[in-house]
Amino acid sequence: MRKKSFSIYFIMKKLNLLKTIVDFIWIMSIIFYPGIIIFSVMLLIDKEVFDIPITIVGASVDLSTEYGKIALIINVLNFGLLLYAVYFFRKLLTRFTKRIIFDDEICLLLDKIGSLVIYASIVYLISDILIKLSNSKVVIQFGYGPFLYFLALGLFFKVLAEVFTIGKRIKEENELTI
Amino acid sequence: MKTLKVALVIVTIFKWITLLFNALMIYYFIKIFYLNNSDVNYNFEFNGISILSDNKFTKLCIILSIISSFLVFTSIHFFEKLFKNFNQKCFFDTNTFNLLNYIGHSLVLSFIFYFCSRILFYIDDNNPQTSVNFGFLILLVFALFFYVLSAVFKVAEKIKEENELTI
Repeated sequence: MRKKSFSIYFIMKKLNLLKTIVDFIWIMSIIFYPGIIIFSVMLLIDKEVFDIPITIVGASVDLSTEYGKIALIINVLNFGLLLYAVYFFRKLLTRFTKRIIFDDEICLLLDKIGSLVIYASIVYLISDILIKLSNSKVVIQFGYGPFLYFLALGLFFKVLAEVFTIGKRIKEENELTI
Repeated sequence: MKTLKVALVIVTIFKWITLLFNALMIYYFIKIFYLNNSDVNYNFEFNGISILSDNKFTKLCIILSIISSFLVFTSIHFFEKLFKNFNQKCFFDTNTFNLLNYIGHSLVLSFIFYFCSRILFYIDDNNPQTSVNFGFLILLVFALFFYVLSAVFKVAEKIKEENELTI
């Protein structure tokens, strides 16, 4: 019994720490996102205002080309998409803190997060191609970009949504059995 | 369960790419620091850590970064195993709970090694960079999320056992 309460205490501590970090990321993003939008609009109107090199997801982009401008717009929108996923993730963690685990809303939230992350991965792939086109140079790169990483994560959330639906059904069956 | 099959294929591809990436990192690390020491390529980057000089400090930074990368590979390996487990329709059993815990442990260790390598990199006198970003926090977020998931799956396993025992 004591061991059980000890493990619950540790899980709750980890959950609270996770929620704190996610809250920190969320608050910082909410503060900086409007600034990013304003800055991007200013860059699109007149690049000469800020004569500094612009880097998007690790690659410098040439804003004098059409591809570069589209890539910038797409990336700002993609950031918003990921922010929306973080918003749902926070909601999910709040539900977990209230010890609501196998619930319809949890399945729905997991599914929504999965869909948003998959969309973000596809948008990322498109913007990556546009950035390469804007620079108009051929490069050989080793390693993997965040595309596969995001796609796997999105699908994981989708799978989790299905698994939680099964869990919910088992729980309901358990509650109905006398 | 179509999503699961697609996810399994992607995770498997991701795992092999990560392994290849890690093998390349080790190959270039040995080549630059031990085989071709007189001609150090200063334009090389290991997991975001560029080679500033060939001193022991830089070597330690890169070794820590490579260890961190290998731990990420380990977590992806467990992740693949988890998906295979799901594919066999074993959702709520001890194996799933253990795998989620192992992923959490690997990611926490990876975060610690990555954090140490970054700290060493920033305090290196040769480092011209002054910027700090919080991108590395994502490893800790995922690690903690997997720990929480393992606890959730343990609860589900208990419910399932109770359900099976009830006539």
